[in-house]
Amino acid sequence: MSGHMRFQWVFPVVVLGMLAMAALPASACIPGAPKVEFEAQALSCGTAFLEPYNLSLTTEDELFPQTIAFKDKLYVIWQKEDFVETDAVKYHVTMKSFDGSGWTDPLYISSPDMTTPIRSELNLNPRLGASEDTLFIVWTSNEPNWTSGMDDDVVFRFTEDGDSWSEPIEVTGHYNNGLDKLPRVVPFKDKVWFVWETNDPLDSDGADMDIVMRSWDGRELGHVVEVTPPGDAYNDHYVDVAADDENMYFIWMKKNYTSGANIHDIWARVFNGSGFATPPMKISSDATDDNAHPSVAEADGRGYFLWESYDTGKTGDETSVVLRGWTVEEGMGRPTIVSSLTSNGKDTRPTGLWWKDQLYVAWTSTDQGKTFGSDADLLFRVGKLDGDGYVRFDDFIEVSDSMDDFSDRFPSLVVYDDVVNVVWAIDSNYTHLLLPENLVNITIFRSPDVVIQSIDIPFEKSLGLVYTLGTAFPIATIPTTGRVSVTDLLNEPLEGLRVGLQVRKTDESPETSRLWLLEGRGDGIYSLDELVFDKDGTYDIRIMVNNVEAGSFLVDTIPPPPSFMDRFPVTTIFFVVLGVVSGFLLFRMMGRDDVVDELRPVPLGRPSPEETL
Amino acid sequence: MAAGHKSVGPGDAPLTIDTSIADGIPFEGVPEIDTRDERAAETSQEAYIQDNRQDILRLPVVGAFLKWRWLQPLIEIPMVIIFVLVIIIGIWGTQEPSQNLATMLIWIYWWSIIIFSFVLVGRIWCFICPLGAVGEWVHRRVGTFGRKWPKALRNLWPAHIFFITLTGVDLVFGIDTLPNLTGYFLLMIMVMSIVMAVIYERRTFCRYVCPIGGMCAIYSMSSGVEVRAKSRGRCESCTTKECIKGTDESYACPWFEYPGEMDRNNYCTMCLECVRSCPHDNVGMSARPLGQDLWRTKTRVFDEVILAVGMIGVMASHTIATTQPFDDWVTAMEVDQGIPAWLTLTLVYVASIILANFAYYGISALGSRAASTEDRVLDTATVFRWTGYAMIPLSLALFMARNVLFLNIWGTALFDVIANMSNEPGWPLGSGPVEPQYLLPDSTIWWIRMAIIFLGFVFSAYAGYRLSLRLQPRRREAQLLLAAIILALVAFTIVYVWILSLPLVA
Repeated sequence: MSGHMRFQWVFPVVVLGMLAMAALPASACIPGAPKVEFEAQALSCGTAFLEPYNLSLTTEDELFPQTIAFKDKLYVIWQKEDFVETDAVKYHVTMKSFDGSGWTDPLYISSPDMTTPIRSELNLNPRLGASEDTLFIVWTSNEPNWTSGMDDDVVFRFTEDGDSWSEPIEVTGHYNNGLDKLPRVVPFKDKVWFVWETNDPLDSDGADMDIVMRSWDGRELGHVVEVTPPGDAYNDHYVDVAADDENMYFIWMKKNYTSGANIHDIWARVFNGSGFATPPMKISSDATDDNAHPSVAEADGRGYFLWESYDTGKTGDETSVVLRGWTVEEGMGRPTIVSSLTSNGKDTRPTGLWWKDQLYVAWTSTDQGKTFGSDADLLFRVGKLDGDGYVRFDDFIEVSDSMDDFSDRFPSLVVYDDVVNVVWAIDSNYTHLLLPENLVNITIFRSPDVVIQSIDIPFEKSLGLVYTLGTAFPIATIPTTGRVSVTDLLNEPLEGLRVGLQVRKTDESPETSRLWLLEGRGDGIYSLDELVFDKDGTYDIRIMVNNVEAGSFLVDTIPPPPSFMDRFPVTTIFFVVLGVVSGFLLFRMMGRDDVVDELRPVPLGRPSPEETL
Repeated sequence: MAAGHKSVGPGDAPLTIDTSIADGIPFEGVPEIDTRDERAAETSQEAYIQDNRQDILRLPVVGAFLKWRWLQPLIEIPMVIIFVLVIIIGIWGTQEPSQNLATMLIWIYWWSIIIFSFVLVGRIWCFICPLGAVGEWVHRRVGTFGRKWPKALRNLWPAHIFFITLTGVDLVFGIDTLPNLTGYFLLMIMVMSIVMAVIYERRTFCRYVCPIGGMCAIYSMSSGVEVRAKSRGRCESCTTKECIKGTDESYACPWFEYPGEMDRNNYCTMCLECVRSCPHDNVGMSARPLGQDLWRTKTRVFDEVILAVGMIGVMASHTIATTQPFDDWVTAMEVDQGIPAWLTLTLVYVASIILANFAYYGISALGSRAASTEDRVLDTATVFRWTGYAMIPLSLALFMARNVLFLNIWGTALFDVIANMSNEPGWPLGSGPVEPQYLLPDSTIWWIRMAIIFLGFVFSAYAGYRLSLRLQPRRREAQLLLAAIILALVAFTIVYVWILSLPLVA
């Protein structure tokens, strides 16, 4: 074989070998990493925005961008301020699209003539949704041209070719007189569903805000269906929805008045097209602190619920991003903290995207351990299912410019041309020359713009580990007193550190607490074969790393109340027997001479007039 | 002559013989025949029983206190003030129901506790009701046209329609979670009470229209206290009838009752106007065996029976509406069939009332067939009209069992609501977080509920026993009729216990 021929073989082998090594999980180089592989994103395989590309570039506020891919184009919409110093602020819904080579001029979706921004009323919080052949934009509007009254209503427009758009259609109907806002749109099983929050008594019960949904079959709107339970009087807000072929996943936040004025719980529910597959499920802890900004991503039969929480039991942190997964077979999975275990800032407004068997989670963070400065920056992580059905995440990656000192907020993820992109709002005052006379307030000065950038996952950054709270986050019900496996309780790479659980019964003094040391298996998992609760009660469990508290949760070992099947047969038999026994005794009484009715038998016939009122 | 042995006196009605009875009823347990005048027999029996009781009004201090003219107004005045406060806070206060006095006081506490008052002291609520008080004050102090209520409407049907509409609207739209609607609703009732007091005589609104009037009427039959004429004979011989006409010191019975004929508690609020007006001291108040009215009274009317049985349906529909499986079903109906939730709830509510009555009518048909003899044919309607009253203790117990849950959940939270009224934005519109109390564990509450239902069941069975004997003195046939009544009790109880067993809405 000639040297030239040898080179023909050696070169591809070396390249493939290098690629294979690079694609290996970091367990090869980071001790304790789980055996889950993450795929790097090859930016060269599709259209990519390697640097942040500014879509709006104005001196007005441009917020809440959303993005979607539809028929070979990428669409981005956002809420655009229409500022006139002498008048109140108005907002348009503005859209741009990208066909692979360039961006279109902005279209003003909320204007009658979409090419010209007519100064009108408030058009807020636009959202996108697309079926195979139709693209929908839904938003909140009090625009009198197409809604009734001046209250907030939900309207949508749709297009089949991306060029010609329908007139705005009011989802909430002209009879509506309540507040309807923060809509979402999602195609699901031959229909398109609009989901929003309302306090309209015709659509929901009570005067509180409730979550409702309504379908559109291409011709007409269906009935309004309440997602939140009837009779519930607490405000429900900020719904998000996603759908796969089988299920539609809802997540929202509910006011929890009993815990405090500004405390919210996170609730979720699953709809299978013919009915709700689950009751409303409270998926956050029994809140003693706030939970907010929920969102949901679908993953082929699995729903991933994300939100921010103050209530994770961690210390020295503000909000954390929390994740829980749900499947029909397994129900709701354990909560996982996606943001950094050592975060010292806010991790907020998470959004997720499932693509090629990996979960992309992006959020806004002021965690100065992962970003720079006190401004908000964008972080993201990529997670992948391990063999046990849990999501293992790789390392933290910052999308935005960590050094820019301007806030980056409201991320939205999209796959376009085989590349994951993130669109967000950036306080881009540095992009404009501002005249002193325009600096009437800080809003103008900040002037958020909408930018887009593709996400790149460098190989060398792959694989960190995720802090997972165990089966008992933060309050779990363990049916009986007994042994609890805490395997997988911790998945943080903590080799060399002393990790343990400090356990104390809540109604006993701190001196009674006991420390259970965890054993590292060397693969990133710490375990304890069993944890024995010898008394019924509520236990406060703190996760200690080198004697520093890293988190806490409660375990309730009080048996749950008897279920329907525990009670009903017994009580049924009891009352049947009672009927027989009481009947028997009364029958016997009838035969006794000394027990007689003191009144005469009733004369029969029609009631006499004096017998009526 | 001792009142207890009063027989036919000079002023009594002439003797007549009921031939259907005089023909003879061979039954070992009941006096074979009573050829005396029906009125005379009852008079002596009533008087006898009365003599064996303690007239509470003759007790020193207590009697004088109860008969005190200012007792009722002194309770009514603060009640009216609280009521107006509730309306104001309901309309303008916080709209968080657990923090608003209107929803908490009216729907959690008043609605729960009033049910228990029926067993103890009958219609005592109507004695202190601010709605009736305001109407009565207007009637007595401002003036009235004094029109008579139309004869065709002198029954409980208007009150039934009002009650069923109210509870139905509550089920569908959840008035109990809407403070402002609660406030407007109470305001509306108060205006109705005043307007009717101006137009019609006495407490026409309370007797014929008040939405809870029918419920109060039937449940007060189970009371252990009664106000009655001590001797009916004396009433019949009375020519002045001050209890009907009133005197300078007392009013005519606001409820159109005549103590001389009154043999049940349904329309007596124990205001004691008749006691004050009677020149013969022939009206007394006494304790008695619980629920005696159920089998003793001769007044049996369909409107009361239909409510008595229908209340079981009302309880069943209201309770099942709080369960998760039902909630899921309502949602599925909305999604699959396009039937809005309000329509499903309305249909279930109405159907449950109708079904309960149809079911009991069917049982009555069985009972009438089994208990009829050649000489005593019991038609279905008669059996339904008489024995339906036996369902009252059970339906009352189901009501109590339902309300025990609310009282347990909220416990003393009302005090927190009241304490928070001084918070921002200032008294009385202030509010603050109120936490459920859960005074007792769920398992304890379950058994308390079962115990209440058990007592109601036994009470109903006993009432059925007494009514069976009144309808059919023959032992075997009476037993068959009682068996039918117990069958209905078992069926209703099991259905309700099944509903109670379902998991509550999350």
